[in-house]
Amino acid sequence: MASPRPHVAAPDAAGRRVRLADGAGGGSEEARLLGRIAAGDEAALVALYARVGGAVYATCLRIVGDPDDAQDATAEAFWRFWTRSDRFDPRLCSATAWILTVTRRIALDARRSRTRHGAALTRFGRELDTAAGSPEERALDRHDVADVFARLAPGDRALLEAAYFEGLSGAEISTRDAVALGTVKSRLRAAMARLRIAWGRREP
Amino acid sequence: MSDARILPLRADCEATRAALAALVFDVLPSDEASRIGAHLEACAACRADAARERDLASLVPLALDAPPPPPEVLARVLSRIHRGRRFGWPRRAWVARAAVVAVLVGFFALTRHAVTLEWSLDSPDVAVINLFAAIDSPISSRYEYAAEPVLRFDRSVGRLMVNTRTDEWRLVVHGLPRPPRGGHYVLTGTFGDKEVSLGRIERWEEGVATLSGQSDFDLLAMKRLSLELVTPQTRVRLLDAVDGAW
Repeated sequence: MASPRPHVAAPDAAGRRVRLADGAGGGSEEARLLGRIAAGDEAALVALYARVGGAVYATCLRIVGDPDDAQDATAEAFWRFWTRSDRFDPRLCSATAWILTVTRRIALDARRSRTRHGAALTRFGRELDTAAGSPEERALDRHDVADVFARLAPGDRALLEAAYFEGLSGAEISTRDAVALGTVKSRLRAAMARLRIAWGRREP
Repeated sequence: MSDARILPLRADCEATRAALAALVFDVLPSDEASRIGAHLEACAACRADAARERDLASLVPLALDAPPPPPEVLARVLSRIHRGRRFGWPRRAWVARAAVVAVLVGFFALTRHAVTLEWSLDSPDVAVINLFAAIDSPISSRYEYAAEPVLRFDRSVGRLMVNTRTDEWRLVVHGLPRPPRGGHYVLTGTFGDKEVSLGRIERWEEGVATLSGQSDFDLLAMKRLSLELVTPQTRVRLLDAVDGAW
């Protein structure tokens, strides 16, 4: 099986696009920064914000839908990186994956909390279109991960985004889509396999 | 000797790999997720596959694009860290300098959208532009630090004095500590569509930072005044004062 090594252009805290060189293991810059953060190095946290703040904020914005709530969730995520970076285990995933997994859970919690308080999710789902820029803008960088996603089948893309951003359980997806849980799992597996192939083809 | 408690069965590996995608998206029922988790504890090969699957899943959010988060978000985190340190968190080598940044960012960045500028004539030749901060801080009440008091600023941040005859000017900012080693503050004014660097702040005396100069521009026509902290690692806009009535 080909091992994907993400080299992902994501917006940094200053709005530029940065390259997140990362792979499973602790050798990336993000992994080194997490190590320094675990030792109490605030400068490393600032550097991490500069590198992945844009990706973290984009994830929060996509999940919670509201820019103010997304900022709150982003702040909470970086607080979590500060207090819990010692829990990052490079054997389990890359630093980027750990950072975004933590972010996703915080944002999903924030959205559930807001839902419990009765706020309508009126803007959920619209932010992606607003934030993603025009197709022409994204097409400027053929090596962008967004381009890989654009080339996925719409059904695969929708399934992966729903699974990642909506935070529904398998049973909930099964009910919503009126398919068996096993079908949900096999569709996810197939979509991930096709994403792996698309990502692998993208690499030189 | 084969021991199922140590050496996972091949069938378990196949079942685990079939479920990895569902596992990393958290869609597995909890009992199945526990079973898969137990297998991953014991099986290095499947653990490596799971790591690759998590890395691949992280591409989903990385496909997004979005406006960058404003520096206040970082300022809030640093401010919270600094408050925590006062209660005895470990101090590390970098902390002394970084804490200075945290205090500064925590104060000025929080006031970023609320600083008001007013000017008056103290004498026929000297115009004074006052920088006031009067806001409730945007510290969240949604999370676990909800019990913290709301910060309220209602004080002068500083002032810019301009000699209208000679165009000499002097900026005074209160409570602006010395920057960390290798860092400095940059002051920028906006005149019409032009951003003009007014220089670096390099003088401190008893907690008051001053910067003097002489401008080719009409400072009283300045529409925006920005103060940035520049270090080798980052550049953060701390003060971004705009006043429509100015």
